[in-house]
Amino acid sequence: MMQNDQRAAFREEAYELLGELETSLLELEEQPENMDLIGRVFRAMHTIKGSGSMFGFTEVSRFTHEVETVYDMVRNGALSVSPQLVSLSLAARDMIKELLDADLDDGNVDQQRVQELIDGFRAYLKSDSSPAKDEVVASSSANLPKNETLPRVYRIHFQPAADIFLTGTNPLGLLNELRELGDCHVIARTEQLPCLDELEPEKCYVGWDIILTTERSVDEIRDVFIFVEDDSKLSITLIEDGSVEAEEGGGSYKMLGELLVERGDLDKETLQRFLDGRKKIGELLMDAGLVKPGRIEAALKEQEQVRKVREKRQPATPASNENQSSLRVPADKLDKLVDLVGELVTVQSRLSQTAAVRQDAELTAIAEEVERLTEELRDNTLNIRMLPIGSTFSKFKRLVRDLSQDLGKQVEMTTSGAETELDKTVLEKLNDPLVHIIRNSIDHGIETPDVRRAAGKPEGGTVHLSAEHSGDSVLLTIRDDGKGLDANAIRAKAVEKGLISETDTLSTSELYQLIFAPGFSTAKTISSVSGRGVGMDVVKKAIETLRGSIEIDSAPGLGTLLKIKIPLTLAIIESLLVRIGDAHFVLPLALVEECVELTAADVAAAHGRHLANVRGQLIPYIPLRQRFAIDGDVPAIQQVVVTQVDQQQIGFVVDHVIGEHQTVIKSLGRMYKDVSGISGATILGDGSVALILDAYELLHSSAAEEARQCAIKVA
Amino acid sequence: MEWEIKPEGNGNVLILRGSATLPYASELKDALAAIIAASGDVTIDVQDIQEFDLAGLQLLGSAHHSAVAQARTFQLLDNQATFREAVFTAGFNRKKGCNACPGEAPCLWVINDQPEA
Repeated sequence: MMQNDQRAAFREEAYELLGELETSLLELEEQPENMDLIGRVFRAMHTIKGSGSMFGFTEVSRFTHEVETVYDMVRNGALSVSPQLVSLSLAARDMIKELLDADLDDGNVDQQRVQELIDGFRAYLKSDSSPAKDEVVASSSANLPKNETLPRVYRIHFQPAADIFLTGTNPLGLLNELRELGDCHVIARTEQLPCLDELEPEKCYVGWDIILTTERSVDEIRDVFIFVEDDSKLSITLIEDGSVEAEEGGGSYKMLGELLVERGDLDKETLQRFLDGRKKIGELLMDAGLVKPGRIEAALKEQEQVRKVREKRQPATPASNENQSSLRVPADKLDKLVDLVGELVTVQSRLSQTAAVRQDAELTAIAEEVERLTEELRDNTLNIRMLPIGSTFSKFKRLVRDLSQDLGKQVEMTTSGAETELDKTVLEKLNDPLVHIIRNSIDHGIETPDVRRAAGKPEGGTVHLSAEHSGDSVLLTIRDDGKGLDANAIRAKAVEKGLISETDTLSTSELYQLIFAPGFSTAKTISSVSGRGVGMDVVKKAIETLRGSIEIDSAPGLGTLLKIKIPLTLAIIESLLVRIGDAHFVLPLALVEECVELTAADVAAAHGRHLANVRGQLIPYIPLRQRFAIDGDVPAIQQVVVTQVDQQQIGFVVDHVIGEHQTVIKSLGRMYKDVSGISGATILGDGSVALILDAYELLHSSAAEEARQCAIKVA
Repeated sequence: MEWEIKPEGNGNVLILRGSATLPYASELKDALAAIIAASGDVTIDVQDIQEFDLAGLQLLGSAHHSAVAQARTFQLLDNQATFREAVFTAGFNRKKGCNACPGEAPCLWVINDQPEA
């Protein structure tokens, strides 16, 4: 049982790591020299391999080992990152996921594909992807993160130009500047120093090995040498950055012999020969004259510094973990918690109502206290389920990459507001609509490089995804800089499909909305990417199921903008409670603009049309009593709840507006899934049920009914 | 830069005064060449040197190489913070002998106590 729990925990962690890995790989493709990203990829592979092996995922571990080997070499500068490696790694990432899935479902994995990928990585090891030594050094230093506060150990080799004195530069001044950056150990290389008769006093013959322990970035170190770098030999190599080995290997570091080989002071064969000796390797090598004492000292100093840094970090690691005190909780447990909180909110509402009826001061005080605590508990519980949308965004980066490659387009995806949080369920349900929108943008929106060039645009297109909070909703925008929507083509298609008649006058904005109509598609060809004509209506439906709304805008030649507004959570919403006869209904408060009275005189003045005059503006309304066929007397003064649905104002006529209500959403169950105009139910304080109105559905079914009536009249 | 060579024991001692720095590098080289050219043990007295820089240290190191190459004893009389500070700043200090030093022979760069910052 324990083993099963651990395996499940590992699987969950591995899925999370694979998500991060995908993001890192996609970033690495853009910044192939970024050592921080290389380190992240390596660590993810290392963890999956190590933990996988520990929990019996032998196949996962074996496969991941092959990838890890390559990234270890990349990390050490022996191999460089190429687009080919990134593609291979992304495929490997998918394969690891497949292996994990197969373990869960007792499924099979295509072993031939596994072997192909392994062969691919092995071939990469042998390929000529090794950068020149100078490039390695430059690359390793180019993009290291700046603001990391953990101490890092750098190995610096500085060999100034022989004529450095003539330029007025004092190399010792540079060394002192380095000392200001952190704990610095300087070992001069004096092997080049000639005998006195050969020495030219104005020339510099000395170089230095420097081991610097600092929190500074490689760029800041490089800045010290800014005026001499061009004429000098300079390499700055990060040798300790808190990598996995550092954490797992205690305070240990490479053995001296290994270090000398890595530093290029000794070859492997010679090391092996001397390793059999009983004396210390350093002494043996010095005695044999194979390695200069200065080099041994430099290597020992490096060993000492890295050990120090690692030892310092060791006790900090468990403590910092403790401070984080995060727990991994299965999602279904959270769902259950939210359900229970929902029940509690309902009971609390009942308690408050009972207390109000009984007019018992003591009970009222208790009810108020329970209400306060319940609200706090509700907010906290819903917060636990909130996840940043960034994880969804990063999935799309992969989608954009793969799609643009398939279609021969150059598309870059940019994002903003990745930290914006949404309820886990909302986030999950948002995935498919967003995938479809992005597919559409790339397939139909963004042009091919030659078309873009001809249009005077940059060859590469952009799809920008952004998220931001807007009240109790999240506003998502998907903007592309493609060719935009063709209003004429949409109109022609709509006429062809019978959605509008040729004589209908529609604004451009109204025409754009037609792309959300069922079966609508203007694509001339159906591709595997999009364009099957079942797209945008499904997207709209999915967004509406989430109680969200979608708007579209476009500028021909410049691009398309889609705005999606989604409520933060699906579990509990703020709503407006209304009554028609004895029946209670709720409307999501986010849609409500205002409530106005509707008298019998107002109804008469409209001559049978469902239009309310609100401060001189005519607003169409739907009489819900009529819509739901509710019997009984209509009050003399009814209420119109004015809402904003699908970019238009629409009123819902009810008998009474009771007020704001905290609605715990309950689904209607399978029996009622096809009931139109109702999206769910909630339990009121007195135990009765209120139905949740589906404003979108009500609007559309009402419009359809009206169109049908008109057609009958015309006929 | 002033210098003089005095015979002492089995060799000579070169007494240096002033600055062992780049502007005086040629003079320093001449002085060191003079004592290397002489026979016997080499002793360099830098107790009256007020300033060292890399050029000065290089010259001392080079003289040390030359003496060791000729299997002559090379000794330095420093006994002052200025020299030690320059040696540590330039990273010339060694725990064991430098590249030129054979076996356990004393080396001018073996200085165990680092000057206080």
